[in-house]
Amino acid sequence: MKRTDVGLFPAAYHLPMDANVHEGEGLTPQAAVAEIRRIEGLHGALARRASGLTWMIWGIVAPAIFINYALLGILVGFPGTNNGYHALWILFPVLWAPWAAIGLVATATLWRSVGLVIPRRSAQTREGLLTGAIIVGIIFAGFAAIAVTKVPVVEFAWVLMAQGIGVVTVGLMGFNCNDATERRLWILGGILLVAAALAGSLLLGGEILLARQWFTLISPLTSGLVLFGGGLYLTSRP
Amino acid sequence: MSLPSLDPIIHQATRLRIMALLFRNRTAAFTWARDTLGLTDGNLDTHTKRLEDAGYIRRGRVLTTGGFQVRLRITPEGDAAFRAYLEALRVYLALETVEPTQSASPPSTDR
Repeated sequence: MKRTDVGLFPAAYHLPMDANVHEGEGLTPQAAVAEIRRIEGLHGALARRASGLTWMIWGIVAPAIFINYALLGILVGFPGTNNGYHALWILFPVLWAPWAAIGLVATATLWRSVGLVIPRRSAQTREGLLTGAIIVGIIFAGFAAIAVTKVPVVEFAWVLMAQGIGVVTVGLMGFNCNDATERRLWILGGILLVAAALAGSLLLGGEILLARQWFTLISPLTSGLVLFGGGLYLTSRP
Repeated sequence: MSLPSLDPIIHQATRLRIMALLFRNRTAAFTWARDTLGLTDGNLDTHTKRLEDAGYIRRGRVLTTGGFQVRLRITPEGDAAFRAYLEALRVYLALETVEPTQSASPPSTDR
């Protein structure tokens, strides 16, 4: 006998396709408000985790840039036949770009993946690009000022400080922030970067060569710890 | 003072969650909405059809690297209806605070 036999399943025969829809199931306005608040939190959780992962990506990219420049510095200073290695000087202004491109692609891929389920607002993409422009702009503006004034400055210390100033600026402007905690993290992270650069410069400022050596260690370590650690915090908080 | 009426299309637990999700995100993949809200395919399908019939959401298919994906998108009418629903909820709860003897059950029915 067929399962759809009316004699066997008279009630099921008339069961509509949307039988699992329970209308008027006693949803109180209070329960409705609680439900809306819970749904609001779902978006925030995913966006916060993606933000945290973005911080972690740049927590790897930023130290990588420092280390790459340190290696190039060694290579350029290395005595070679006919001073051939000195030709690598031309790489100094552009060596950051491939790493920044890697970070940008990784960030874009992450947010595109998130966007498959939660689309980003176009303003968020603009804010992300503006963040990069602010930080890179401050770094290069500083280098231009250093070149003009010829003040002896440890390059890595300035880049660390510029990163910090840029991060604080972004935090104050409220870019890339899903909530107040994230904004506070931008500001606090920036202050930590600036503080590390200032403290190192004050302690080692007397001897520029020694300061250069120390900042080869301090700058990648600080930026890595602050950015990666901040990202870890953002991804792990409930 | 009379209690405001709550939109019966939205004032249903599952549809409310779908609308809240889309009101916040504007659009969502069907599968993500299903998993996030803890619904079955059939349940989500039925409720989204109801919302689509009311003109509150639109369903569309987009081609992604993983194949075709069903996307849900809130319409301007749905956005306005959800805002009105939120406002009605606010008024209802404010009135209930003033008049605690009123019935706690919602003023609308959808049977």
